[in-house]
Amino acid sequence: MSLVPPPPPKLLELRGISKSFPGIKALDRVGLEVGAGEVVALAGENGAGKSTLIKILAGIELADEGDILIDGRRVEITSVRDSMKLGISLIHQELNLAENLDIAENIFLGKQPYRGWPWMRFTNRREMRRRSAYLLDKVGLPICCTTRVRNLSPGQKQLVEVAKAFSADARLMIFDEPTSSLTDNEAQRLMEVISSLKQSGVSIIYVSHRLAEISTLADRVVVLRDGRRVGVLAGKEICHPKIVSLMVGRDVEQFYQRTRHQIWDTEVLRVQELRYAAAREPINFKVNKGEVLGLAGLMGSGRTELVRVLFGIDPALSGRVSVSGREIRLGSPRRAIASGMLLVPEERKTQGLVLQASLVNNVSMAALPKLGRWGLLNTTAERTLAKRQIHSLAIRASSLNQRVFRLSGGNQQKVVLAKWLALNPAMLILDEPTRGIDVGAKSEIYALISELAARGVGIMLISSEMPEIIALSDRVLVMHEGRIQGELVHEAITEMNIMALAVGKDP
Amino acid sequence: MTALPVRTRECEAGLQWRLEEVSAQVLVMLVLLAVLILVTSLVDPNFFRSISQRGLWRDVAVLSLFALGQAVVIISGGIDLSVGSLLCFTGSLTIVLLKAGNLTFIEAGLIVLALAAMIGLVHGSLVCFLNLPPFLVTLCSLLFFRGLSRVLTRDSTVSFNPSEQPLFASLGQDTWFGIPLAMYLLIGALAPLACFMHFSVPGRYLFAIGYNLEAARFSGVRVNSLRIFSYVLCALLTTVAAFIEASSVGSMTPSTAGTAYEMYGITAAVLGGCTLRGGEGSLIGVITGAAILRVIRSMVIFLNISTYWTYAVTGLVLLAAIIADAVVRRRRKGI
Repeated sequence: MSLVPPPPPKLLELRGISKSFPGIKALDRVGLEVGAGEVVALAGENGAGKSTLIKILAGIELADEGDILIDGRRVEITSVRDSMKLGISLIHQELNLAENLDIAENIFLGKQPYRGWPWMRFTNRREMRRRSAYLLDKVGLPICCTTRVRNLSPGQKQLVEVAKAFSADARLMIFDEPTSSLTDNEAQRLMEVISSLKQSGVSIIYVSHRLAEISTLADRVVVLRDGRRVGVLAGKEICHPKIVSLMVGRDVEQFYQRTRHQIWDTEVLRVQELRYAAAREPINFKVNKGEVLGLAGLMGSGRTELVRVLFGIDPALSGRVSVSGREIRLGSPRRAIASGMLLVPEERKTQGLVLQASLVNNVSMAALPKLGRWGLLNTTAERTLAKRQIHSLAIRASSLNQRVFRLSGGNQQKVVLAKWLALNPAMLILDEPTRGIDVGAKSEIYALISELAARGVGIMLISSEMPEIIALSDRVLVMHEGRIQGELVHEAITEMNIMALAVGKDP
Repeated sequence: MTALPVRTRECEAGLQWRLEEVSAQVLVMLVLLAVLILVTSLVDPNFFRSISQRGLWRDVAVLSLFALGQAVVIISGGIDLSVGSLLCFTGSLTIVLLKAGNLTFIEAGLIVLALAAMIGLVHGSLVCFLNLPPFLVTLCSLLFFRGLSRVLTRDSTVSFNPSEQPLFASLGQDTWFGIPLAMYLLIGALAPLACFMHFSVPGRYLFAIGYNLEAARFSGVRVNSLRIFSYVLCALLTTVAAFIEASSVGSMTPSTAGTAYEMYGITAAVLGGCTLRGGEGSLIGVITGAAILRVIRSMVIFLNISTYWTYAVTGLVLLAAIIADAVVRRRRKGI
């Protein structure tokens, strides 16, 4: 009888990891294996659960259930410290470097080599610099280690993070969107460093939206969707179309009812040759009365920047914008509001609402000047207005005076909408209107959008949830790196087409 | 969707509740004021007679005037540290204009008020357009105007002759029906200001700005104009206080006049229910706070405590008020 030797345990194995946040299941029994010296890419849409998964590995979030095994042994990761002790280093999307310290100090932050005596210890700078120089050489960053980190480019900072991970003897490095803020050259350089890390036996988990990078780097690709692992591709199977179809292929019929609106011929918003700091190319588009224009794109593709400029929060450099046929001067939310163009901002809690104030005060915020004469408050009219809005939007609150921070996310978002609808908008811009709210409130907001469009309001909808964009939009603009990459109409609005444009493919 | 598990107390939250909360705090302060007066009167019966003195009410009026300005700034999320120095500067400048410029008080007063408005405008503009922290901007003014007053007067006490300037002199010294003229001025300022803050749209917006500047901006509120306005208002009220102070004392000593008044103003505002985070407070409360501060000063004298203790006692009273407020808030949250 011959004994088949058991396969060597994987460096990392995750079994049945689940994690819920209020109202949402972020991860549903997800498994993942990473071997020594293997590069595993995690792919998925925004909100698919990638970030949650790596946060659990890094000890930032705690899994509700499931096992983490390192070298075949079950381990507990309850803090960032635990994770580091196990040899896991997360190289974060937003870098965690102390900008005012130099490179060497950053690499050895909290673990400086010492000299002197046990009762009086000094940082051994010479030793720290010697070792830093060695590490920087290893990651291929030819810069003096006494340079202040704030003087480095994003790419160089990324490499300092890698060196820092090295100094902690990391066996598994997790890269979260490492190239999102890098130039092409820097990204190329990082790719090379990752390849050499792999050669030296370090395992890598690589999270990125850039499918091209995934195809070149990864040994295996694990695709997540709605918190579930929907597929694994290995070796030759790894190619764009396969990844994309795994990412988007979902059953959406029951929830996202595709609606058709009647669209008027009159224009409600026209944007011509609009230039601003974050725009790579001048922006041109228009929205008709009763039309829902979807604005799709990945995070950081410049959608929010565009609507902030339109609403007058950020400055425009040049260009012409007209609302309902009348040209408006950009640069002031007041003028935008006066013209009938309103924005439901991305950050509900900091931009949309005065959280500590009451429901009635928030709903009436924008309409106050119209309610009273000579700039005086008309509290009776204010309460009547609030009651009407609460009723028509079905806002669930215990009283008019309830402070809005007590409301659920969905009801808070409805308060923001109520504030604007009190002004009878001609053009309504919605930036991620359903982010972080529960399913019931979502469908109510979808119904409201359709109803407003049917009444002839022009609507611009930004969403990272593609089924939402597809179901609601009559037309979709896809943004990529600060420009409009392409336009999709009617039957061409599919997740496949949007994703292709969003990752930078030419139309 | 399930109903939120809210306590009935919270259900009545919001403006009404906030008013309730504010008036509760005002009530607490009034009780504190009464207790202070009562206790001291028991120790020395003369105290009660002294608090009906005109001097005390005039002081309360001066203190309240710049505390009101401070309160408006704090409610909108800022702070003005320059009031003490500004009071000294505008007071000295008025006397200098009266004497050297041979102007009537009306003329001099208007010039100084216009200048004060300009100063407030500069404060507000620096805060809004250059995005500088109000603490630092007004700290620089605190130093600058103290210095400027000393330059203006060559660091000597300036005074005026009451018989030559009857109008100016009457401002701080006359009484109508036994009540100092300054009190009427205070009421004249308080009534429209309270209406503005609590019953007008821009007033409501000032509270909103203090709570959440960003959300106010996204709602189309004229954020910059309103914030600048708060600093202008503060400078103007401080100047009116300076007139009364200069008139009642009869002179201004630029090295000492108005020192630490900014701290009195902030203390009165906080005692009156303003939080330094902004968005909360009531103007009536501020006046109560100012009265408490002034009474403490008399109290220290009447209790035969060395006057050196005045600041220490004031500090302790403020600390007690802050702690009481925090405790009440925490209990109300239901922890």
